[in-house]
Amino acid sequence: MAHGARTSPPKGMSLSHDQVRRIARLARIDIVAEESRTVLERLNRVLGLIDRMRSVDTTGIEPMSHPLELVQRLRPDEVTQADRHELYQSVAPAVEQGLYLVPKVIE
Amino acid sequence: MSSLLNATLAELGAELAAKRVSSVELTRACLERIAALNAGLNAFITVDEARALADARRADERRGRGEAAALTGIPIAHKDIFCTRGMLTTCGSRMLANFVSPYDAHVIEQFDACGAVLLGKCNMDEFAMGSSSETSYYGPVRSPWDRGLVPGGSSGGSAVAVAGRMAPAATGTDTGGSIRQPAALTGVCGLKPTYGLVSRYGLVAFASSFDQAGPIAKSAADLAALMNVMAGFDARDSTSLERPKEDYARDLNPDLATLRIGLPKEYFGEGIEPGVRRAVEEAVRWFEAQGARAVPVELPNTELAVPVYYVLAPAEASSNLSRFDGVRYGHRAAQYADLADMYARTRAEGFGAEVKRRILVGTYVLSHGYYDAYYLQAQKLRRLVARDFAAAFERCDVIAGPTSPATAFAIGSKVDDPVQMYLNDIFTIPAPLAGLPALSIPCGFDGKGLPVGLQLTGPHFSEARLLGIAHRYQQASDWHLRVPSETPL
Repeated sequence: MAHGARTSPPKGMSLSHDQVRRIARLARIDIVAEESRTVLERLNRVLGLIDRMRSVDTTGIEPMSHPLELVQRLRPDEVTQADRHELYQSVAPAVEQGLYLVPKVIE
Repeated sequence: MSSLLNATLAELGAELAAKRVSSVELTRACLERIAALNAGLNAFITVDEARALADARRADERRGRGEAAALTGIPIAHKDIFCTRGMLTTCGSRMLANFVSPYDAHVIEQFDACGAVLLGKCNMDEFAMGSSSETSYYGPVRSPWDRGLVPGGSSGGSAVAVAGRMAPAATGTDTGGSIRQPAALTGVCGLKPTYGLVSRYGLVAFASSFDQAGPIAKSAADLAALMNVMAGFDARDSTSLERPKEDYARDLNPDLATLRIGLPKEYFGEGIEPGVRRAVEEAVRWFEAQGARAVPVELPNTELAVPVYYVLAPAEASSNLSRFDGVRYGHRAAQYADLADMYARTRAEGFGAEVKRRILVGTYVLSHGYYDAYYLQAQKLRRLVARDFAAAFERCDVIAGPTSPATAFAIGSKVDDPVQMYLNDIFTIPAPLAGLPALSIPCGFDGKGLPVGLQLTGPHFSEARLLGIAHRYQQASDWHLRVPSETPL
């Protein structure tokens, strides 16, 4: 897995089990041992497909991040919404005193 | 009632206006049809009969007061990606299987405001990721033309609701073809509008630089009527376009004699089923017979569109779907050791295989050391695809071709091979890369008796023109009125 200097991973590269584990950790998705072979094999097929675009010369082409080349609209920094936290928190798995409950993070 | 189920929105509007039928009667007819067919087709995830009939009664009262608007009293089926207040909004995922939305999407508000009836919520590929409507947590949607076949996706439930005559019209969303491809595979019409015309507020996000909501219906004129309700500026979507309201039905009878139809050689090459090619070429010949001129054009980066899309859309998805963490709404794993474990288990349980795959691909292409080689490169190629269209539209007014290279395929035949599934999207992916409007209308059947879709793509904001061209074709053909063989009226 590249850290830092290398910006152009080799083409046609297949992921290893270790790499998939690392990506899954970054994505916060648990992959259980039984499914890891299938996940790896299918991910590599998808990467094989997207590798096709890597050899195209794009020197001097500006990246396109918005299909209409527009920038996002800004608005005055004013409160426009009523406080509806009770309604919105009514669908949360665990709430107490207006706060979302999660497992203890700091001992 | 059977003729009502096959009627266009204009015909239904006339029946309602003349009080020959009430919205309650029409809604009941749809609900009965759903009750008869949905167990076999699985097009709807949620149908709330009481709510639908209450909407219908309100619509009839409104009409009684002389305040009816266009679509007042018309039942509409919505893709289960639009948040609906007080109603389950699942996006076809276990992650949202318990999510009762506390608010309405803009599109839902728009239909509500005109007095349309909310008939139900339609099944779809999980988080709109798919081209077959098989990845839903609620099971696959089946084609009314042959229950062993997929209806296309991801808006497959919406397309089947219309094709099976369970709903007069439906909404869908299109990221890489999710309105047009299922419309083509089920023999109905679907429009993906120009990026930014329909507000994405309250629409569960997949890939935000592509996602567009649009209508699915039996005819181009119906699509225009639906667009008149759906489109419009909404400050709550930061990409919503500030443009004056337009009437999408204003140009339904354009002069075809001056029309230049671009035929990209890349859309008629190898890999297209003969039956699809034949039907599309015949439709083009009909336009030529009306005086339109067929112009050869080139879209040389078409082949790259699929790999480019399958970098950019997963990248955006990996970011958008990070919100599903088991903290604020949706599924939370029952057992976990700590916070990190809660996230990882919640997401492992809540997402299906295809959604996980796209999140992993997106995470990979955005990760340190890989960003330039994948994400930035794909963004540069996106510009090349957009430039191809701009060059083509200097020589033609619309681009015609098949919506999909093949007609519907068997359920289960492509689920194990994501690449085969992705390559099927080759003709629907380019338009959203460039933010262009595109529609699909039925143009015949292949040798197996399965519907073929004709895709028309136009420059930005050319919806009214595209709809007019499609409407002229539908004045001279009846492909769009054919009722699927397995669901006769």
